Amino acid sequence: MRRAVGQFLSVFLSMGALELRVRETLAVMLSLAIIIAVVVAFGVTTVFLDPAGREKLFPAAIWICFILNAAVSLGRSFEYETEHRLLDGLLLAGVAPASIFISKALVNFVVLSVAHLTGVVALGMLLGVSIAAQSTDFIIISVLVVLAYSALATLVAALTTGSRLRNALLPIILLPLVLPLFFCGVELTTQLALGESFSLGGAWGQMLIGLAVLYVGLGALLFESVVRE
Amino acid sequence: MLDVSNISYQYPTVPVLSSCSLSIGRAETCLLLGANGSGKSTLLGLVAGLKRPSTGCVKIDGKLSSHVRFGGHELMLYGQFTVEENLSLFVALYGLAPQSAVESLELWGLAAYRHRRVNDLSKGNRARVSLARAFLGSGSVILLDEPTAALDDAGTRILCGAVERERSNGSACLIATHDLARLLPIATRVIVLKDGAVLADSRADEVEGSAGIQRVVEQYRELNR
Repeated sequence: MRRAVGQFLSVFLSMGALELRVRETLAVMLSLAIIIAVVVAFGVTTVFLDPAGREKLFPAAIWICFILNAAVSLGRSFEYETEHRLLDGLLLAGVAPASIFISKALVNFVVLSVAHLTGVVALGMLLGVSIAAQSTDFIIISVLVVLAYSALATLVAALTTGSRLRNALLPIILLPLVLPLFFCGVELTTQLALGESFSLGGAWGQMLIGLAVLYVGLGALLFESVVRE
Repeated sequence: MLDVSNISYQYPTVPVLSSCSLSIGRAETCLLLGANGSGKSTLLGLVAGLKRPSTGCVKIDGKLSSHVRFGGHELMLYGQFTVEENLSLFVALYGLAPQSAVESLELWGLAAYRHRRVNDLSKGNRARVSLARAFLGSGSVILLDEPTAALDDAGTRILCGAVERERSNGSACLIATHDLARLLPIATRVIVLKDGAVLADSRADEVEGSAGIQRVVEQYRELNR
C-alpha cells in the first residue's frame, strides 16, 4: 500500500512537472479561454443590451466557453507520455493503471481549473456580471464539473491516442458524453445567479455528484483495457 | 522460471504467433532469432504483459502475472526530461535507494549526459538510457528486444556485462536479436522463431550441431561478413 501511494505520487509529480515544463496545454487553454470569452461577450452585449438579460445568459456562457476550450485543448493530452511509450514503462514498473489514470486526470483537472477560472473572470469583466457573492457554491459546482470532465476527457484522450484523427475524434466522442455535465453546470449556476436556493441535494446536484463519481470510477476501471493492446 | 504455453496472437488481419511454446530456466541467457516479422517482438510484448494473447498463457515462477524487466524498441521514458530525472523517476517507482540512479548513470557511461534531455541525445545514448531503465527493476526475467541495434562496441560490452551479472544472480534473460556475432558469446541457449512458431531450440554451445540453428547462424554470419 505504501509503495502504491509512493508510485502514485511519483507519477503525479512527474506528469505535473511535464505540464509545467512544456506549458503547451496551459498556454493554449488560457489563450482560448480569453478569446472565447471575448467572442461570446461581444455577441451577448450586441444582442442582449440590458444587464438583466446578460445576467441570465452568464451561466450558459461560462460553461459553453469551458466545454469548447477543454474539448479543443485536451487533444494533446498524453502526447508526451506516448511519444516514447512511457506508459508501458510505468506499467512494467508495477504502477497500477488506475494510478496512472488518476495522476493524469488530476493534472488535467488543475490545468482545466486554471483555464475555467480565467474564462469566468474574463467573461464576468466583459459582461459586467459577478457571482462573487456566491463564490463558495460556484467553486463547489465548478470542482465537480471540471473533475468529471477531466476524468472522462483523460479516458477518451487515452483511447484516441495513436489515431491519426485524434484531434478530430476527441471532441466528436467527448462532446456528446459531457452534455449531461453541461446541463448540470448550467442549471446549478443559473440557480446561483438568479439567487435561488442552492443545494447539492436537489436533482441537478445529485446528478452532478453521480456523474463525477461515475466518470472517475469508469476511467479508473477502464484505463487498463485502453492502454494495454 | 518462464513458461510460455501455446500462445497465439494476431493483429487485426495478420496472425503473428500460432501456438508458440517455450520454457526458460533460472540463470539462462537465451537468444531469440528469426527473420523480420517472425514474431520475436510480439512474443516479448506478450511475455511482458503489454499485449494480451488470443490463446495460451505466460507464467513466471508458476504465476500468471508477474513483473518483468523489459528493454524494447521504444525508450519508455519522458523525452522532455533529463537522463537523471528519468532514471530517478524509475528508481522511485521501483522503491530503490536514490543512489541507484547515480550508480546506473555511471554503469552505463551516462554520467556526462545526466543533465541532457533524452530527446536531445544521440540514438546510441538514448538506447543506453533505455537499457539503464530496463535493468533497474528486480524482476527475475529480463526481456530485451534488439538491444544492440543502436549500441556501439563499448555500449555492447556494458550490456553483456549487465546480462552476465544478472545471469550469475539467477535471472533469466530472453534477447530478441539479429546481432548474433556480439551476443552469442554470452548466450546459453538459442531459439529460432519462424512464422510465429519455434523452429529450433538448442544450447548455445551445441549450435554447431543443430541443423536448424546451424542454417540460421550461417545466414547471420553471411549477412555480417
